[in-house]
Amino acid sequence: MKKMLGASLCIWGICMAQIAIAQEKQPLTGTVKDAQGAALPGVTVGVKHAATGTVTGPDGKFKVNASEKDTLVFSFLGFNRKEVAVNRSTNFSVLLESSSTSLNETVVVGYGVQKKINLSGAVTSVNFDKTMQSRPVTDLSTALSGMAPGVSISQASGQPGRESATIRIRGVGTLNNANPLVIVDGIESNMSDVNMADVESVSVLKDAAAGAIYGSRAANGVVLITTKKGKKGKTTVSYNGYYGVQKATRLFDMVSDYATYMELMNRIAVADNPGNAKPFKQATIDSWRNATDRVLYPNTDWMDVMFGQGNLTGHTVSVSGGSDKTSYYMSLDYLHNNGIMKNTNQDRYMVRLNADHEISKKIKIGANIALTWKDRKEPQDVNTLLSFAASTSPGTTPKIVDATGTRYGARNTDDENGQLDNPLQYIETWNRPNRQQRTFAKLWGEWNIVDGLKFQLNGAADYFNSAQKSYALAGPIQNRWNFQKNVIVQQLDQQPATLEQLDSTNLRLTYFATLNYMKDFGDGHHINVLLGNSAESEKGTYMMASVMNFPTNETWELSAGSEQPKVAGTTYRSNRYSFFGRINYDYKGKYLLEANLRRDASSYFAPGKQWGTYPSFSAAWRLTEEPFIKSFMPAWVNNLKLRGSWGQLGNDRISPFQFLYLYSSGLNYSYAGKLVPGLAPTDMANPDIRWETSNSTNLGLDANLFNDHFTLNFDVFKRRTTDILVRLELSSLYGGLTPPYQNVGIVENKGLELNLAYNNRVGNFTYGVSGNVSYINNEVVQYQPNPEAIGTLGGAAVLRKGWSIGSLYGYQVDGIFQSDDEIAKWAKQRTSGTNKPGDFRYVDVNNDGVINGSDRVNLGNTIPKWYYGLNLNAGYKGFELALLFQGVGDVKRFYQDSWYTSGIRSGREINTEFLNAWTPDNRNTNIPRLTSSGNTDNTQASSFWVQDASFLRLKNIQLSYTIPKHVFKSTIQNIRVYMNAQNVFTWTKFKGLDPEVGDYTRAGIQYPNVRIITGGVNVTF
Amino acid sequence: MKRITLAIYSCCLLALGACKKDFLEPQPTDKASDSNFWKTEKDANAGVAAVYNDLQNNDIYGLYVYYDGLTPAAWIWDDGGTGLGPISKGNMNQFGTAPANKFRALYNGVFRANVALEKLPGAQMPDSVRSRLTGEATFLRALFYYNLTDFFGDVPLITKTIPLNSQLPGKETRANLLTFIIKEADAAAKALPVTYDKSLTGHATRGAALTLKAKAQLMAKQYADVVSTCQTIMTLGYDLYSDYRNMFISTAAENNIEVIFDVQYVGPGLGQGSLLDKRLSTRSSFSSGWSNVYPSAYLVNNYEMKNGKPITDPASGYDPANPYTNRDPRLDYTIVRPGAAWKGIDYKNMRVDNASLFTGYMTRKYVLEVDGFSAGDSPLNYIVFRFADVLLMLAEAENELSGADGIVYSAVNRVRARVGVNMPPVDAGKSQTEMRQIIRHERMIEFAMEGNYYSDMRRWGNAKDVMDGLTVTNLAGQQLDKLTYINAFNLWPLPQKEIDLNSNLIQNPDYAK
Repeated sequence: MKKMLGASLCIWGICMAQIAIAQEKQPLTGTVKDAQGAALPGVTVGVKHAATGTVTGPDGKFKVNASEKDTLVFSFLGFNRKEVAVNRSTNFSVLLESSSTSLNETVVVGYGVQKKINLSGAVTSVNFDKTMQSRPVTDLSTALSGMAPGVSISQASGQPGRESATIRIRGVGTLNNANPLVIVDGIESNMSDVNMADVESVSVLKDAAAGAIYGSRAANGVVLITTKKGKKGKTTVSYNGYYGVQKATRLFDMVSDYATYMELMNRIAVADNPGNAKPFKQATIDSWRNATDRVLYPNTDWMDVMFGQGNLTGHTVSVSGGSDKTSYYMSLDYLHNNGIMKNTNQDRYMVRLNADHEISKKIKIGANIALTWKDRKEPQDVNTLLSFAASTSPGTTPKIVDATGTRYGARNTDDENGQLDNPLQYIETWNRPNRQQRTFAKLWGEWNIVDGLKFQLNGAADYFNSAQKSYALAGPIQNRWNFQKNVIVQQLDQQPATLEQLDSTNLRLTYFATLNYMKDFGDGHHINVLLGNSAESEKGTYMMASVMNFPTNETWELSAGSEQPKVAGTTYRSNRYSFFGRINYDYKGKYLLEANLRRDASSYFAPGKQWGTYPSFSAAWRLTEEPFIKSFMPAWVNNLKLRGSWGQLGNDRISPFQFLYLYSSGLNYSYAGKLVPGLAPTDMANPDIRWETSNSTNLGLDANLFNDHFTLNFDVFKRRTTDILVRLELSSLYGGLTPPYQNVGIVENKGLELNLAYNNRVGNFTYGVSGNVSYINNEVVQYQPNPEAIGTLGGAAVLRKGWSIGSLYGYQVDGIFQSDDEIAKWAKQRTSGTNKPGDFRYVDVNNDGVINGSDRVNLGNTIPKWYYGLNLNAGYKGFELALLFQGVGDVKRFYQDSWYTSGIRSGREINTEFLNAWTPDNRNTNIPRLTSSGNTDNTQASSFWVQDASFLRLKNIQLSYTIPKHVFKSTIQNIRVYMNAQNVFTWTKFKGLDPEVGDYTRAGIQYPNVRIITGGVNVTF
Repeated sequence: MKRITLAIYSCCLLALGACKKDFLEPQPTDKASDSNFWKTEKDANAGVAAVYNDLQNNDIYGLYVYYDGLTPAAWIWDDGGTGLGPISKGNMNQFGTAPANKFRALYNGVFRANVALEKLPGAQMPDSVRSRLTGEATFLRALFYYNLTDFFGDVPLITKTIPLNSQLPGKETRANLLTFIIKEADAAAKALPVTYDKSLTGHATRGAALTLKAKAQLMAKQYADVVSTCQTIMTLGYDLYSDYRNMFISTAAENNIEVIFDVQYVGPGLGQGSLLDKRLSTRSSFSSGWSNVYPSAYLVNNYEMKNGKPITDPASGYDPANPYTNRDPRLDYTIVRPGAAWKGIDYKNMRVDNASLFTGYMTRKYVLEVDGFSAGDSPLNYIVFRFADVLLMLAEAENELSGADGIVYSAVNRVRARVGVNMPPVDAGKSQTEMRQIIRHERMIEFAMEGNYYSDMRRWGNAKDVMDGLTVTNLAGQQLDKLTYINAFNLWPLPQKEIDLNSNLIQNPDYAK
């Protein structure tokens, strides 16, 4: 307390100094050195609250004019800023501490802050520096990519408003919801609604020791986000603005030459029955080949029609400051993001106010308030749209706009399938505007009861509201034309328009109180005890209304519709109630012990099965503090710490009332034309449902070496989750019901994490390298009581004992049949009929002469075994260059959908990859012959469709220049300009669109990730 | 110290404030549970309505018509997600979606019936209502089992709801299942009325239960029993409806004197409409001629001339230049062909797009010809059992039992002589074998595009002979497809997933393990 008082008096003093009449200046000199005594050249030496300043010379010496009341400020990249009051000294010897030292760094942990050096659990904190905050990160969840060991961040989509990344901490520990718990300023909330510029720090709690204080929700790890606070002193205004352009990282190359396409389609038509009619006449093919008019004889590349260049603009302003008793931070953020697909965009507004106030020396109060408003536009679910946008052909003219208006094309020849879709028409005439709004408000109070004993009370409301409309324009705009004949070939103008409107709200009320007691017993013993309880209540509503038939294409309100109104809605509620406690003990900063205990009750479970207990223990030993070890340890070892932890965590994230047999309504019927409501159970109940429990063990080593230039963190962990809640497949004999969650699964994740960093400087040149790599082995130890049981996850992904979650399952392709003779000699692959040359030859694994279900094998894992990140940065006289690489290794993906297949349906696109398909004249290929989609011989799940999805990506590169202060004279303190490129290069063998995906079991197309190039400026006043 | 106590005290106080009992035990507000449902007659009606609801399932009767696409009578162009496409191409296996969905849908119906049968005794209602609802649930459960054994052969017999993690039973033989169905249909027939008050039309009747019984007996080849059951049904007041065409496409003709049991639909906009009008051409795409399933040239060619002779008979008067004149009127009542019209639109103006890729024929049955309904929300009931079926079952059984006697002739000729169809009687003096072919042919024509022929062919065991190697052609006679059929297809494979989940299930013969 005395210290604090001193500090505030000091600040007060400085303020007084400022308003005082200018004092007489005198020349001062000094030398700046680092902790090892080496002179530091290039250090900026400024006088606080004045425009004067200088830079140290090659010998670390400086000269500056200042008065007695002034304070000198020393700042240098890679070192902690230091302030020295002038007083009566005229010669200074200043020691700067390298900022890479973690000795004084603090880390936010559950319900508190700890010195990093005292941690005994596995916690990684991510540094949100200027470079980070100047990246055009449109969703905070994507920012951690490549930054922290053991943390996998995968962004699946570049669609504005849907960029939210999948976060996995130390692998996938459950077959259920594996998302980590996200805590913003102590309260569970959503990462996507936090403004990147507001982030002070992000801590990731990875092991049970760190997470146990969050008990039943921490099994998948915890992400703790702390937002900025105001600092006492002068008001600081910061502005960051950027503009950029974006393009898809990768698009498919589809067959766009229609003549080639028609020939392929003719070939496909007779592939299985040589006698079948060929759809395209030679005359039609020739007419396209010879045409010059590419409007009526188009060779449309639909990928280019759908995706173009987007742009984005962001502006953030923040103001912070404070007086003696009150400090504040406020910010305003605006982002306009125009996607690479027409009609996909988002406007986002974010506002924050964090304030705190000292009522008395003992009592402090504060508030954190944040508002987010997002307006997103999209034609409809874009991934769904893309999945059927392949139902078109290059012979279709996208659209013609002329005096008669806008008309969309269908086929231009009668030989073509009559039911082509026009993806551009979908994109331009369908609409799904969505508005999301979040209000986060937290009030807190702190009471320093006596020295060392602190009581804290927190209450928060997190309110989220989402409203969405979806509709498609109606009338002639929906017709599709044969422009050659100038006739409508798909008359869709009679389809009545439907407007559907959804509205949902969610309110989470959280209360928690903690009592914290800290005591230093003087003889090296130090304890810190935390006790607390919390209650959380979540209430939600959902409402849907729809109506058909609208008078115009501009009246998209429910009241304007005239037919068949429909409504649906529900509310839900869930509550949690908890007690928790933590004891930290350390002896001389040498032996560190921590124990946590949490008791949680959740309304998700049946009465009597609601409480769970989550303990954890951890210990650490700082070897370098041990005199007998230090004596023989070389001097370049600055810090060495061994850590170990064990703990239990839970996961309760399932839908409520699983333990009750419920009757679903809507299973109606009618008698004599009159509707009768019908009710029946549609879901099987499981009265015994309970928590998932995960046991985790961690061993770690932290080292700071070579005068803190080099840091190393190494962790080995094992996480075993039992009682995993899975919707086990249920035999239809139970009644064809939706299976209930059952506590049957066991999943184990074992892994290693290594984090290395090196920072140093040569003259004016500073540089840093930091890298992290994680290895994770995921295994389903038990899936079902029956060890042979196989659960399907979609695509070719399955669950099976002994395999990792979502392993791919299918036939092993041995090659391609070259002749009928070869087919006759091979194991029988079809129930009826025979294969044809050009078909896959599958391996008869069990050698029974028949290829069937039991010949399927594990074709690879869909959870990456390796992921890594590499940060490189360098600085020279105001220039800074930062590169971030990120990647995953050893992961497979089953990829097959209508954009990428050898089974081609009439009126569908063909991927150029399949131009190299097997034909009698093209035998030397691994691609099977093209057939119609009805023939599934070659499109069954097999090793051919399984691809290596590993990638290495230059995730971000940023070049910035901080304009030297002497260039401009004003109240501006800092101007920094930068260029940034995101998703710059990707090295991968994967043939689908972008290899980065949230869920590697996904088998098909998604809105591609984007490459963004921005230029921007940071200004601080 | 006082302050510490105070702090702890206030901490606890806040904690207790939140800990009301119902804080941790909220009740569901959007779904009924055992604590508040199945108490009253209204609940019972809702519970039984949910059993009927399953009949509308796409994998039960919702898209039953599609099964004609697995016979030479029709051709599947696009299976609309039913998984029947690969089957029609000769690719039937245990991983297909069609067997999986059908198996699940039918056991779902069995389950809902079991719930009703278990809960009915405990709900408050007059005994007469209880007995009738029990009869309906019993009938529906037997109907689901009839479909199960028709498609899968031997299947497990589940007659009550089973708790999670039970030991699951193995298969029951088709013979035992048929015995069960016959017994249950009998019990239902006793509990069900012959007719209902008009407002209850659509509930299962005694006639429905007895027709099911006859069908099970026919499958069991108990021909004498079929004859007697059919003769009982004939005493219940049913007759052939006088307007074959409108029977399938007019709401005014619904629940007519011929209908014994149908799946009821109502609309528009109530979520109780049938998909068939959308899926069977013309309507969905506003007469562009696109459809999931097309009637085949084979079917069209099988319609006799008005004089009762096949078109292949030189004496029939068939004119290849005017192929649709003087044909069995049921051809035009069933099929939209060149020269015909639909909803006043002439065939040639209907843009039967790309006729060279399709058969050139479209379905008329179950496609509404009036406006005011969105596609896929048709109010037209789907007829499951009708009196013509009873007559032809009687003829089939009697013919197998005693040859082509008077009973057989009178039943077949009665169907042919329906008002508005007026086909001449079958020539006298047919042998049992000849009459067998005539009855089979008559069934194909009478029930064309209703989906029954697929089951008929498999019951007769002649599917391979009739269709293997047959080509499907377009109007120009060009080949669209070549059909494949092996005898193993007479039974569908049990879904592999079901076998994986129940080791007591054994795969049907000829489907690889």
